[in-house]
Amino acid sequence: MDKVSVYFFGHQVLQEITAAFQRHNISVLIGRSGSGKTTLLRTINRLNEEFEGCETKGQVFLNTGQEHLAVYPKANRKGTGVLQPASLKLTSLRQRVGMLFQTPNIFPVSVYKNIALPLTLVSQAAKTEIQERVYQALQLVGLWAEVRDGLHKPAQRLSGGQQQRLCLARALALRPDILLLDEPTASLDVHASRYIEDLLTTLAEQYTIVMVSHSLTQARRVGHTIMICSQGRITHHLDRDEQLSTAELEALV
Amino acid sequence: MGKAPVWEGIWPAFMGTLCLMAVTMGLVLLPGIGCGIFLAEYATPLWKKRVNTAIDLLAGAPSIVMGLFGFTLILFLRRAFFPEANTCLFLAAGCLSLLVTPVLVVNTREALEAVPSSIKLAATSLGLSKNQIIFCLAVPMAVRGIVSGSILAMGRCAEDTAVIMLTGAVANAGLPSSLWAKFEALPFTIYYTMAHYQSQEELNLAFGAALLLLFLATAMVALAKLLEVGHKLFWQGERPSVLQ
Repeated sequence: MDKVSVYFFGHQVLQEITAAFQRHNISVLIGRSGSGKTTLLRTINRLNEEFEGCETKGQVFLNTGQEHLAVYPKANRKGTGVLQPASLKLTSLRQRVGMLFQTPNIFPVSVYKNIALPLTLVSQAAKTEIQERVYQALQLVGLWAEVRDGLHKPAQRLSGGQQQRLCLARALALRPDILLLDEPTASLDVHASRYIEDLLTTLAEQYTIVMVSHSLTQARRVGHTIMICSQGRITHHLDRDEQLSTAELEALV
Repeated sequence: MGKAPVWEGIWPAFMGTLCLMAVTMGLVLLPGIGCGIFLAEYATPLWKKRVNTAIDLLAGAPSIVMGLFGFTLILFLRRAFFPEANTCLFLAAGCLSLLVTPVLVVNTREALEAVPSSIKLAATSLGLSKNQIIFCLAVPMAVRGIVSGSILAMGRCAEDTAVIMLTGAVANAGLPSSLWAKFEALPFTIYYTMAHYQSQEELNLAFGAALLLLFLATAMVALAKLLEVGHKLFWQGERPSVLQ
């Protein structure tokens, strides 16, 4: 992430942030409300552009191991003379970058269709392959045993924790490289949160995870790196070896 | 045999009303729903303002004015282009469709605007394009509102008298023979018979027509319910056989 600034209606929300998120790691962003965590997260899949009055400067690069890709179109850095890698189409970028929101936002369809519908729309896979991938995704998030008898029942009947895991499965079914999590456990109870945290730790072996969290203890539990945001900047960058107590973290925030 | 008229009573009026509803809906469904989708999802603020003002104006126009418009239109056409042109089923359906367009547009727009933005955002984050989100997610979610708008519009077609009496409805035409012919309709039959009845039988006929119109309205409510349930079954996938 190179010198990324984001403006909403001319008001600068992010101030020239330069940062790197390690592959197959969980990076946790913490900070006060309004410090720009969510905006920072949404620069990675260009979701800020869905809101009115948003303007982004700078560039984000995506390194998938095989490819080095630019997230924003080249015009974004006019006149710098720097050779830019190929930039991604918006929809294919978003397919590579899965996202989970604060509250589970399932579609008002069946459990199966929740995953199959976006999958069918973005990939031209055959019906049998889609079914295969739906089942795989459900197994990956540990929902399979719970919903296998109710695959075609409305997804609204699931509990909050199950709905959030369904959203995760929906994102994973598209086989992304990166997962963006915006306080994924904000609306869940302790047990459901713990379950998701454990799940993330397992998933980190395959995916690059960037997560926004309000809970400092959660950040310490799951984060390989912790970044502290304040007033649109990243003020501190801590690795897991730098063992800080929650109180020390609190002081930094 | 052969001495009594074949089509006596309110059967021609009933069929006329059904034909009128069918033709009107054929004319108005696509543009009305399309306009609603445009307003809710695609229109720039400027276009939103313009089209909404136009729709409000149309919604405020009294039906007799719409009838007069049709009548004047046919006079104009006779003088200018087609001396043969006359008031007919198609003209009545055209004017009625102008009358019911706002109902359909506003209902569609409101149903689409009620789709939570969080769901659209989630779909966006999954890499779905704007058109995919609108037509595969938002419109199916808004079907209930769109259907109720359509049923309201159909009800309006069935009951409106002022428009059709200036644009082609007559007291005695038999079954509607073509789009370009005059026709009978239930509300006009009620109106006409109530004003000019000469015997108890004719009065009874008018009451019968009124009752039939009520039944027609009930049938439309039932149709709406049926469509809603059917859609829910298909869309939410409560019926396992749909996908397996």
